[in-house]
Amino acid sequence: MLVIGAGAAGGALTWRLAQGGLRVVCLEQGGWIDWAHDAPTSGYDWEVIRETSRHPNPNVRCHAWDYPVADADTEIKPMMWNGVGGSLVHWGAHFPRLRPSDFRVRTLDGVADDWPLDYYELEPYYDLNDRMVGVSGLAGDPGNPPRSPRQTPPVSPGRGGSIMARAFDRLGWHWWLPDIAINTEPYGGRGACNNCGPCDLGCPQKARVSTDVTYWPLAIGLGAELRSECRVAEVTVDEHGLATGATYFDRDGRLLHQRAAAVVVCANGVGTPRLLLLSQSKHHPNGLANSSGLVGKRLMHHPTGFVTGVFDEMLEDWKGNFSQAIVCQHFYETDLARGFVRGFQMQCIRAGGGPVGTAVGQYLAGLPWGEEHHHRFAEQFGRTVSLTVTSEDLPEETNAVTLDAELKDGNGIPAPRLHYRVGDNTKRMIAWGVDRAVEAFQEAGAKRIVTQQLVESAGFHFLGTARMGDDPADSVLDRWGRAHDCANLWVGGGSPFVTGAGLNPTSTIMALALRTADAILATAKGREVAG
Amino acid sequence: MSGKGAGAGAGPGAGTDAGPDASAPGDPATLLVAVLDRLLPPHGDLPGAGGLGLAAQILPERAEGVLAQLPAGFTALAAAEQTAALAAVEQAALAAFALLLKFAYIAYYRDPRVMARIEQATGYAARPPQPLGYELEPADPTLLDVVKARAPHYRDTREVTR
Repeated sequence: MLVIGAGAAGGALTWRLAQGGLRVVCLEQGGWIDWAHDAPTSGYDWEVIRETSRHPNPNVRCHAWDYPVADADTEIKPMMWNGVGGSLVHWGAHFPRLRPSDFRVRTLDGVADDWPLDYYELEPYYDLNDRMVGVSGLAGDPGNPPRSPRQTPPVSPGRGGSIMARAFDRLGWHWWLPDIAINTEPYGGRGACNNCGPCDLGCPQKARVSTDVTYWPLAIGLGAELRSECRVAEVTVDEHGLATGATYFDRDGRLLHQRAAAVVVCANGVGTPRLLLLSQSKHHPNGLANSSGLVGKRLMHHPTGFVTGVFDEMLEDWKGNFSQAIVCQHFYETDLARGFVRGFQMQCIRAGGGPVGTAVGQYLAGLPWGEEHHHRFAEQFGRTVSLTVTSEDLPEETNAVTLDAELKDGNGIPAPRLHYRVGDNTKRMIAWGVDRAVEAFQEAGAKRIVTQQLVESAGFHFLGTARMGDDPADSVLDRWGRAHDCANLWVGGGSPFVTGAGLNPTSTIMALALRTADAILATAKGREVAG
Repeated sequence: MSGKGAGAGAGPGAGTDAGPDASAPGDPATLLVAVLDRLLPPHGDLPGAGGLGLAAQILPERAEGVLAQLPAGFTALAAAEQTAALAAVEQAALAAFALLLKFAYIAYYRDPRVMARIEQATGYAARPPQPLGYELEPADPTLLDVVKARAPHYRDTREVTR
């Protein structure tokens, strides 16, 4: 088996295949991070590194492991990491599951498409993945289906999260302590979180999940081979159009070929369609597995509104994982009286940043220069709480990943180009959600409230670019993640998503990958999975 | 006053009667010190960013786009006039100004004297986040009382047929 990409999906899937006895080689274009010696948060320059060499945007970071992304035609800029662990290397570790309705949006709400599986079919894989990586949280949320006990206790909401929880209570809005892929106690041979804050710069305690510290050591222990700094240029096919392996550039720039009985592409929602579109042949003239014409299309993000409250009280907002203190899914389900279909979640986050981040501006705008600067710093630093409006983006074929005609990566391979505009339903949803967040901050007693209708830098989740479905005419993959057009080609990651949901996708990406691995194992053993 | 968004101000050429260096923009290093003192002025017992000696930490190419547009005699102008001149440069050369401002902020807020002042004022420790991390106070055990009491209210789909 050949797996392309060593991120969330590639790591989980490779472990499962290796556990099932298959010989697996994984090609990953980036390298490893040595957390013992290369943890930015251990140095005084951590905020400088966050703005430069570890910036989440590959076009800013420009690391040799990266490929450029043409982003002039997108309202939301790409944020990703290319290396072992994938974008989990710099994620915030918010780990919600999709809700049952997310799999049935056509039937329930008359929009987009239903998934070819439902929540309850995926539930055992959510549970398996949770046990493998370790999730902190609290079972018993009446707003979600019952779930198994969390591996470690919930993260404290801190002062800011507690203020917002009380405000939600007074407004009658449901909230809960979120599932977070961070150990609050040692688990899985990894340490416990010490609440340092900037999870996006990696975790020297290895408390925050990424596959380089969870699945990969296990997979390699089972015999899987991971070749890092090896960039795939093309998935190759035989005279029947079946995958034969991939050509790739190794770290010395040599063009090599890896043969395989089957190929699994787990290169994220941008890299996967890029590679499929690059892999043109007589049998696949428009790109591999693209007879539907949908490879790269239906790109979905989580367009995000962002509201910050500045409080008189010192909240010490630098303490604790930045990406979530509590979560509110009160407005998640459709209520057409609001003027839009589907809904959103609000993550209550501690995004104040350190002193540099406060001044330069991250989610919140930077501080003014001049005489007002020091007053504004004192008013704001450590005293903020933010709410996201994480919206559900409906799939549209005009939102797409294509190949750029001119831009190329360091190996001369054409770069992807993003074409993306926020849809009207999503705009109405965010505007309504921002008003609710303002209402919550007014209830909480914030003295200044700052709103953003769309965070340009929130392009963390690339979904839908090789969607699953039952009909080969309007989907790329079947219900197991196997290409309709190529029986030994499989896809993991965000690309298979049929719809985007209004919450963070990683637990679903990993659960789907484990499920796809089981389908591959069944196929390899001559037991075709049910259709 | 705040420079950001302040549109009015002296344009190039303002202050041309301001002293011996009136006919030339001036030595870049000296100019940068003056600029930094306007971007991040003195605060309490701390001098401005220029007075703290932070100009040496800013690469010339990150400042030249701003310095090149300053009026002759900038260093001889009064503080308010310098601020107005910088506001005009910000309007005229937004990207160059933003670049210098970003690295001025970075230099300032990683300076040990500034970090010590922040620690004194806020409790934010003047050290990197790791390896010590922080103590996060535990949640009030009653915090969940209201939400725990709710009945299940998610939208179940077990009976939904596609």
